Amino acid sequence: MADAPPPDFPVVALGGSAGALQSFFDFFGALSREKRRGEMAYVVVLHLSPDHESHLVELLRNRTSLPVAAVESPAVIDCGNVYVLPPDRTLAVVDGALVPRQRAPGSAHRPVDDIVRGLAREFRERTTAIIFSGTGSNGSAALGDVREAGGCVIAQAPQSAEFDEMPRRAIETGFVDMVLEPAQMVPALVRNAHRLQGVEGEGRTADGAGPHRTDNKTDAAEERSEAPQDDPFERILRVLRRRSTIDFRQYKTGTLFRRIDRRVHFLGIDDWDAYAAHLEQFAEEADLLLKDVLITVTSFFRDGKAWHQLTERVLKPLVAGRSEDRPIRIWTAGCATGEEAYSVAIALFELLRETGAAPQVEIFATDVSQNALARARTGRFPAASVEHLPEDLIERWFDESGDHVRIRSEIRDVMIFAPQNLVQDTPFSHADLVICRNLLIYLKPEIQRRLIRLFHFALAEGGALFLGTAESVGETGELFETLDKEARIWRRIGPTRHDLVDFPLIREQERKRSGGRTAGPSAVTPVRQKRLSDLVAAALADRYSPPAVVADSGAVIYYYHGNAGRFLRPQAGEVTHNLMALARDGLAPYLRRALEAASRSGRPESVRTLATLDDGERMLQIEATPIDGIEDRFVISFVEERPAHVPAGGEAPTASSREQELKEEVRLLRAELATTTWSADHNLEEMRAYSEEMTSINEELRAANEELETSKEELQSLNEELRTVNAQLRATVSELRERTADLDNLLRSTDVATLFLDADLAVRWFSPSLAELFRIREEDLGRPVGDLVRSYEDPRLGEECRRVIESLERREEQVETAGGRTFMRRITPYRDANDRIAGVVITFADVTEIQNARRYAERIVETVPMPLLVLDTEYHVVSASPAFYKKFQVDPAQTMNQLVYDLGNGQWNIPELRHLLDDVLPDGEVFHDFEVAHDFRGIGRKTMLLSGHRLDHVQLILLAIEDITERRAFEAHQAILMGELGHRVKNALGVVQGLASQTALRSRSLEEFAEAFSGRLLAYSRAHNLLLAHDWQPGSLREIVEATLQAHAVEPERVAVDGPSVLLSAEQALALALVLHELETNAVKYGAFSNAAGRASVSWAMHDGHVHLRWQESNGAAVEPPKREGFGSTLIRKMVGYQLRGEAKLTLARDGAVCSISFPLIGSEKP
Amino acid sequence: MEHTAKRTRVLVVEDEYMIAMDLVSTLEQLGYIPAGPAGSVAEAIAMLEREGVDLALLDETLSSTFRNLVGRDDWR
Repeated sequence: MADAPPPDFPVVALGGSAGALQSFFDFFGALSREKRRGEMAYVVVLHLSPDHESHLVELLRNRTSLPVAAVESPAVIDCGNVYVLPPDRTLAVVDGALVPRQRAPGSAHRPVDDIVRGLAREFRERTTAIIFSGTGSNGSAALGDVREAGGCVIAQAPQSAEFDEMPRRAIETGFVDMVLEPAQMVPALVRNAHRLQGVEGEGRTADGAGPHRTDNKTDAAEERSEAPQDDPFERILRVLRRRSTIDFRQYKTGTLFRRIDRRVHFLGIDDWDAYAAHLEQFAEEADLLLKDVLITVTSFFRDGKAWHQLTERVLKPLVAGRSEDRPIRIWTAGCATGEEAYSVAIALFELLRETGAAPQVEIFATDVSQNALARARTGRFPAASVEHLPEDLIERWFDESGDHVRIRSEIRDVMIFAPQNLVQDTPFSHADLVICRNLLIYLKPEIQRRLIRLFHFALAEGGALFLGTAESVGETGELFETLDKEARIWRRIGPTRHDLVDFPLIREQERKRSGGRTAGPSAVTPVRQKRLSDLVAAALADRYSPPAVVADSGAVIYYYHGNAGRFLRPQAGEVTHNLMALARDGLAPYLRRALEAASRSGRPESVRTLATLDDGERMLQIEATPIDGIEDRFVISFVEERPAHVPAGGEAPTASSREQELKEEVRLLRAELATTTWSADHNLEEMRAYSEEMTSINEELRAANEELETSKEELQSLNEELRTVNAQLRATVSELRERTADLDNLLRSTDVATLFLDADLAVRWFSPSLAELFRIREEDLGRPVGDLVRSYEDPRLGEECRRVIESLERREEQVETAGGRTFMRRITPYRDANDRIAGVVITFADVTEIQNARRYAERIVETVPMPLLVLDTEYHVVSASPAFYKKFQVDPAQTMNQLVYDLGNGQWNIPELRHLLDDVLPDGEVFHDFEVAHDFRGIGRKTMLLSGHRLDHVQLILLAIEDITERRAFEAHQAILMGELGHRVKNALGVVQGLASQTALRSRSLEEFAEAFSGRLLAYSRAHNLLLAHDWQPGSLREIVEATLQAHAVEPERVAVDGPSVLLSAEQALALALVLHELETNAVKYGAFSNAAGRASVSWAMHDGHVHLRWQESNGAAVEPPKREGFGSTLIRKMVGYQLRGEAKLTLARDGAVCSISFPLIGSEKP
Repeated sequence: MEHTAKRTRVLVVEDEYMIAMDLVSTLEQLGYIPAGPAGSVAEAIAMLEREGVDLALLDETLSSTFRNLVGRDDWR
């Protein structure tokens, strides 16, 4: 298989019909074991009904490793491929490609014929046609084309075919090269491939001695005819001559070599020697070779133009100028299977029909092949062979019966088919037309020349000769003139030339071998070199032999010898060749008796009679002798006996009277004889009429028989269709059975409980696992599903099924069993093979686990306090947590199954969310805490953290939404607070540092510093505490006052505190606290509180936005004005002026200090 | 440093009196000539217009208000 396939690979057409399937399988089975199977192309043509769905392609695929394909579109034929004809098509072959075409309707569809013919036209000798099992004759009509193209034809051995009609019909055509069983065909095909490629087959001797080497060298081969006896070619020719009496040495050897070579190759025989031996041993092979050699392909009106010319230039004048009593005689020489003979008959009958003339017609059709003649006689032809003829012509002259046509009996009746070897046998004569087409080309030139002369002899004066397109009359210009050069029609000219005719055209030695036949007087002029002796013999015969005529058993005269006219007398009326009509008075009955006797016995027979001739009465011996070697020809000679009496007067009178008496008696007897003869003739006529009648009855019976045969054929073809369909059905059924088993196993192996119901909801089928849900057994098949006891709650089952049948949409629902298991009950419409709804299929899938998992998941979603969305891959909401609904103030109805972007009227169409879902999530499985801020109508701006998780295994997306709006606000607030706190702390520490440093500057001792500083620090921190207690909000003036008094442990009853409610800022409160602390410290040290009796009052009022506070001591110790202003006084003044933006006036009265302080409630300038 | 500091006038702007006093005494100890203190920005500006200073020491909380005034042409 390593070598490249040859470009000229063979194309094998496998044609078959009923029963061919198995044969195809056998063939392809054998093929699969053949190494070189890839070097051929195969076209499988199975004749099927168009609406039959064929599984041929699948079936063949199981049997061969070669690619198998139905030709649904034009396909170039390539080797190693199997092309299958689709059942509703036929195939044309165009430029090496198979092109599907619409098939012809009904019986006109003959795919095997069509396709094989197409292949033969395209691939010529590369075509091999194999006719397989089948009924009818499809394929037979194309086999001639294959053979003519040089291709090979194989028929399946009838005994191996389920239906042998197709192969038998093929074999009957005579075009079949080999008859083989399917498996044997493969090696034959391989040998044929070798032959085509000119490759030496395995085991073949390579000496090249075989004559097949000189195939095309015709000239060289011609010489071989003189080869020695042991030459295989000579041996082959001898066998053929013995078998057929045909001497093929007169045939062109080139053609013979090719044909013999084909057989040698088909048989796989090594060389010609072996083949010659094979041939000598097996007569059947000789028959096959003979068929092969004598092959003639003809068809109706082949070369239409030539036929037209023949009709116009020969037949028309012939019909027009012919009276009714003279028959039109036409001789078709080498008629093969008769198409040409029938063609001329049809042409003639057409003319007669048009002109209304009714002359007698005789058409002789002869061929050397008995086989071909047998077929020709039947007048049956494949329908395809007349396809090209006009409809009306077929209608008029053919009876159609199935795939065959038959020539009508009115034409068949004028046909005379006879075996005849042109080269050896006597020709017909007086023909008006001789047709011999495509025969001469096979013969050697000298034989051709002889035959042309023979045709001249056979033709009547002015008769026409019609030859094949490649043939001509040659240089015999004095014999023929051209009538139509194109159409190859010639007209006979000149007189009849017996001298030119050498017949029988066999060699002298042949004649001797065959026992020296005697030639009839009229016919035989031996070969040329004998001519002188013939002349001598003829002269002697003229001189010594009696007058004679040559006639046939019908008494038609063909030849006159000597002075035969003495016994004949032309009658008035039409010219005739009839001996009886020409015979002198009274001779006719004797002539007939002699002729009939000789005709019956085949031996010479004679009668004696007295005849009245011109010169008196004579005793006459009439002898009829069959001519040896020529059928139906008799020499009828007239021998006069010496007169019984001498016409002299020496006789006695008694004798004379006696003579008178005798004469009288003779006259009476003669009269009686004439009557008897007439009566016998009459009887004979009656017998003839009776015979006619019998013939016509026979004809009727034959017609009836034909009709029966037609019916039988029709029945057979019907039967064939049925068988084919049956075979296909059987194959389909077995495949169906396999598939059913597969499905059965599949359904049994799954846990999915399945129930098939018909349209009335009755049980059709159920799977075993259904028992978990229904109490069902095999006996329940056919029961309505409603009658079954269910082991689960499903009150709506029937209703649901009906709804599915109405809506044709599948429905799903979850159902639960008492055992706590959950099933997904799915109802699907059941469509039958024709797509009609024939019920429903219910499946129960156990989804308990899934259900549990889902519930688990749903609970999680419901429980999480965070808004959570579960989306499908298209971002539709599958589920949402309650927190989501609450947070975003939407309800489930507006949320479930919505696109997430559409939620809340598109409020969720957030670019960042789109980005996350569309861009981020597809790249990774998760995203975490993407912060997104968005304004929601109704609930305001929300800051959210989005987290997503792609759950690929369930095709879901989790989207968690954390609302961090409040946290963010709190954090911002806290940041502010922290800043504030830091500021305060720093401020407070600054103040403390200031207090410490300023106190230190004015202190004379550490003890003094410690006391003063701790007092001030305490006052400051108390004010702080107070403010902190109020969250640094503005403080009540009263509370500040009270707090500072407490710090000095002054009894409350010693201090009168009075004033409206005034709120001070934290800064003012702190400053005031320090001021009050200084006043109180002074009072404790030097003033009102330095003794037990002193009192103080603190009062304030609001006026013009200013706080007016007055500190007044009474009953205290006498106050002495200090030598210099103390730090406390300075502090009071500066603090009030600097920090409270007010004024302080301190006076030291007698019984204590008085201090007036005024300051704006709110600083005019915001610090 | 010593030499330079002696001639440098530093304006103290601080609303908290105790802190202002502390700063003033600290600046004095360091050898600067303290000016002010001013308890508010307006006061500080008034002082600046009266008597020029080399430096100003600003309370953080007052600085932003003060900074708004920096672009003024009549004040440098």
